[in-house]
Amino acid sequence: MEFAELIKTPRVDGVVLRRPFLPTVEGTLCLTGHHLILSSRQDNTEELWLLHANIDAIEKRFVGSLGTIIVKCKDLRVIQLDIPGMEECLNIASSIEVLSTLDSVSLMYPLFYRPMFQVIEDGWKSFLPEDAFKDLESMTEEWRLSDVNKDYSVCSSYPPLVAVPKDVDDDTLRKAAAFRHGGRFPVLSYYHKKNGMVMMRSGQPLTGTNGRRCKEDEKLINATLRAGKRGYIIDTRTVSVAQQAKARGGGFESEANYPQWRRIHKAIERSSILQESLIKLVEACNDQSHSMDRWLSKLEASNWQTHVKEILTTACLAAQCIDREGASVLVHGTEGTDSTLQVTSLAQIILDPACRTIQGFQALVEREWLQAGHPFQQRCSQSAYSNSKPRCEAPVFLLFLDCVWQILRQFPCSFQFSQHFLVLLFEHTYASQFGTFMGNSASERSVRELHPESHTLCLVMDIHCLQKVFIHLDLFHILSCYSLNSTWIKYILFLTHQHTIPHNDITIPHNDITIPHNDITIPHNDITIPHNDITIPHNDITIPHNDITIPHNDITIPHHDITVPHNDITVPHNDITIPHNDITIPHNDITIPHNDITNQIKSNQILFVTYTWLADVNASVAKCLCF
Amino acid sequence: MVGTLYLSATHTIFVENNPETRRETWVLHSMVASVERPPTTPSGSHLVVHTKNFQVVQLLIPQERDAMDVQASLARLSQKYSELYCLSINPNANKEEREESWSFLDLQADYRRMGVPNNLWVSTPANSEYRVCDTYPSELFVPKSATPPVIVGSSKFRSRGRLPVLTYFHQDTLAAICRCSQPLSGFSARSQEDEQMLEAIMKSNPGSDYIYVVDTRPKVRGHWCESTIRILLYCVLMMIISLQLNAMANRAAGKGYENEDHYANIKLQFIGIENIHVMRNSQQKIIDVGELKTPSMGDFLWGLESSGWLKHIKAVLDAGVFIAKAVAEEGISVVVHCSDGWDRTAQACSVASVLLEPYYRTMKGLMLLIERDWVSFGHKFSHRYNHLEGDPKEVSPVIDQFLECVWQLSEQFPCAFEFNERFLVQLHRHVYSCQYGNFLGNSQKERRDMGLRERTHSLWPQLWKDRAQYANPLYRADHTQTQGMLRPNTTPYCFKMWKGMYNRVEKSSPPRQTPTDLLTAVREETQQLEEELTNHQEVAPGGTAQPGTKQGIQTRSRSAPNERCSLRPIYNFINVLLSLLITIN
Repeated sequence: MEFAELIKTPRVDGVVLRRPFLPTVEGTLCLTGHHLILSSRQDNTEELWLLHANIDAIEKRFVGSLGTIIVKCKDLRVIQLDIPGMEECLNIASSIEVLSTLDSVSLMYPLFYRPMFQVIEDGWKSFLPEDAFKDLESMTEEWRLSDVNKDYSVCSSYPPLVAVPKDVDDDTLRKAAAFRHGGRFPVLSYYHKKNGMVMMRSGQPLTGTNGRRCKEDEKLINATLRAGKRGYIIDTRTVSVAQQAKARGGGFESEANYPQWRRIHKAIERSSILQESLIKLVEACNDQSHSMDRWLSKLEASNWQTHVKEILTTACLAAQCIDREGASVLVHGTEGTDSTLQVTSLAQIILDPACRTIQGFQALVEREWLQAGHPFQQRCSQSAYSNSKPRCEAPVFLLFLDCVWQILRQFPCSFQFSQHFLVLLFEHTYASQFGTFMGNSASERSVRELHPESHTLCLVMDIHCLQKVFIHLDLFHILSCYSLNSTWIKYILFLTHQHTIPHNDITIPHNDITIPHNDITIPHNDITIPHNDITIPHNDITIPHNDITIPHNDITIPHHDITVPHNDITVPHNDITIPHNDITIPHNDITIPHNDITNQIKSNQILFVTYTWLADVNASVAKCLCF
Repeated sequence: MVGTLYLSATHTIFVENNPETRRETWVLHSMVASVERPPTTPSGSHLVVHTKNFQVVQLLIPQERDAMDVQASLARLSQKYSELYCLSINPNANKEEREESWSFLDLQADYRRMGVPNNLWVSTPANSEYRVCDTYPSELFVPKSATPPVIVGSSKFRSRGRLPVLTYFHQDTLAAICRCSQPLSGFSARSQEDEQMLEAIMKSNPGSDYIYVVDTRPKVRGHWCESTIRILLYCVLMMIISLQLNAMANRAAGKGYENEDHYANIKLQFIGIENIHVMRNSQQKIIDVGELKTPSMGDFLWGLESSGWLKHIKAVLDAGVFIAKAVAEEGISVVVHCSDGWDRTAQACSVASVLLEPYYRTMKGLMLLIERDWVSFGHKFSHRYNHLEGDPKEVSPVIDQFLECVWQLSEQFPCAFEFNERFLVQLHRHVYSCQYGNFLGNSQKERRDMGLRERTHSLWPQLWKDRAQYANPLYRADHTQTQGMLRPNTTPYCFKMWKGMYNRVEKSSPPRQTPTDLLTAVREETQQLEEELTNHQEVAPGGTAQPGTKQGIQTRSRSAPNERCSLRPIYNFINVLLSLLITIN
């Protein structure tokens, strides 16, 4: 199939683009196989590049011959296009509808996308399980890397290599897998260096109504306990939901068969309920009545924050069990691919400062979400605006990001990244030029052999982050220099003007809204806008080069590399990649955020940190959650 | 904590027994809102002290009788002006300092800063002895064309004589904000002088041919505003009871708003800010929400919604936004009133001033604004904030709402305000504390009659002295946010519960990370480092040590290899800053 067949009208002039909080743009609308492009063809105005895959729903309206298409995106933006000419408008609308609902994986953009920057590192190999295991090996010898799943035969949603207790052989693993939902036998998720306790995750045990048991499964998880110690099983479902699961062959670990484990039930909702909640939340955010009562009651009715709170509480509980009680923990829900991953990944953010760096967080997402088999494609194929009936869609990952944001709000000095990083991830899960979030599991990604075809996000994120580091560097100077010279101010104004009002303003789930405005502290953000990957950055980089020479020669700095961009439009990507080399610093040297928390942690304060969170979550999360 | 409780004439003091820390907790008697004594338990008798700034102190006293005594003493203390802290501490100790403290702020200078008096607005001596209006300041600014008969006539037609006078003058558009109380128009009454007064106000803005009259009360069905409805009901009731009570009914009926048929060229605008009774109840509810021990998300949001507090804050801010836009964007003068013109009017005018004028976003500017729109124009501080046990129906958190509006704005415009949250909290505290004489009494006249300037100190210089701790590190006087008018987003999701105010119990317990404090500290440290660096640095020709200029920086990086040791801390330091900035937003 050729894209050209689907595009009835490839180009319309005189189209007006309206976006909330942004000036309107008039220009030419073009449709390509993957993008909707609107350009005023003037130098200083931003172009709109919208992936068709990002379109959730469209609405058409006509006033005379002027047609209006309201495009509702999966990243929750809403934009309006006024198209002169009824026929053009209808053609455009029907083309968008077809193009945005193409199912065929082989037509997806990541397979077509060729980065314009120099790829200096294969992002697909950045966070391999082998590497993660090397770290583990340096800390303990009780675990081994098993390739029992190397052809994905034991569990289709696990990666080929998983970490399991050393004393357990592959046969036992196979038998345990048969006893767990989806073959997801318990595997290592996190090793707590401080006391050697571990967190594991799995699918639910298939006990069924007659209480089946599986000696191998018991052996497997008991192998992680120290002599005389008890562990905790955190079931993310309520008791009654878990009971009901028995009728469908699922269930939970009975006390009789797992005497060394204490089971705790929490109440994280199923995915369909979460999707409804998101739809209600977005509706509340887009409510035009501007009434406080309506907003609050709709917010409450959406239950979104209730879910956030429940997930956070559960993650804190897991962290507390590991750190305070000194016990190992096994987390599972039903499939072990949604709420389970939310809990395990958040608990790691709470316990491990490394996860709060940019690199560490990417590694965490790679490990606990991508390799752990969260079905991104199913969960993110539609978002809150879609009119079609949801099937498997659910904002599971978005909720996780929201929880991280809540922690970030409470501990703003403990994270290397800002909320924009989270928003970037959110956007890429729904539509992206990178193959990172394609497919539902490692096996799907490898079967389709995406690797050579598409590129992964992490590398690009590095670049984005680097830019941010630059910008923060400058911001720092803006704030701390006393005799500010005007170039600085111009620069910062430039940045702010350029990037104010992140389009995700409308994203409200993170209610960025309060901040962005015209506020200097948050300029960069929009550099992250992924679609035109190269076109934007050049602006941002142009300026600093002089000024960045600044502070300390320790950073042997990039200014040489950055000098070029200036008047170039296409070049910059080259130059950007280079700083990447030099400036590995952000990750190595800028241990600060790291330090920051490590300090806390060393001085017994991890207890305190976890504790605080627990106290908060238990006592008053409601008040702490921001909206 | 175990310790000893002392009751002094002015404070309740708790001193911890632990000899190492000896931490002290001081509670001013005038800050005590209520003292509860739950049933005695075997371990002793509890006392729960609620303060007026929403803090809660719990005491466990071993002897029940002691507890009762303490409760009784606390209830009895601070019931007379003379017992208030500001009057009971010996004020004559340093007379010069005191006099100086009162001259710290100069309202006239602020008017001059706005460009008043000028050829449009002049000062009138009409109220110099508080004869026209005893709740107004002695010096008033009125349109140049307003003659004394017009002034007096207009004041007679306005509730409590509060005639329309200038409160803010916008130099760029020549539009003004005026304030007054409701006209005594009833059903048909009119006053030529008052009509002339509004006409004069319109004429003193040469560019416009009409003015806005903003009634900050909710408009109830059709053209009736709150008070008219109440009066109507009242009349009906009266007629039923007895036709002979007509006189009373008439008296009661003499209130309302300007009739557009009588006043030429006015546009009436109603903005629904609720009355003080609604606000009082609403605040009580949000305090309760803040004190909830373990609310579920639903409880919390429901509580927030049913308190209606944020809705009211939004209404006040919306009123300010309307006025500011009329003045700055349309260039139209605005006359603002509610019923008496000292509560909602003060809120609306002062919020508008903050939005319009960057100066009022500085510490001194905000002090001046409060001094002008609240203190001098007769906001009834003693009644509203219950300085002495008075009529509970008069109590209402009017200025709380203004301060909260400023806080909400500072959340939206973090770089626009010179002060931080602590400054607002401190202001709030002193409105209630009676520690200084500024907020005592209900009008300028009352304060003069009490001789407060001779007997008490002023708060402002004290705050100014401690300004370092109230500074907002993100404030930059030359930033876009600090220039011109603020255009806040007032969609409901932009309003947050002010946890620093209503959720303090929690805030005090675990130390939170506050990037602003860190940033402040870091700035100070950088400054020191920069100075040190400048000293070390060879001064490059032409590029004299100006840290931050391009030359300065390049010089520094070139000379750096020789000074590696001294640069090391800076480098570490910059790292800290980097991470900080990353996280700040």
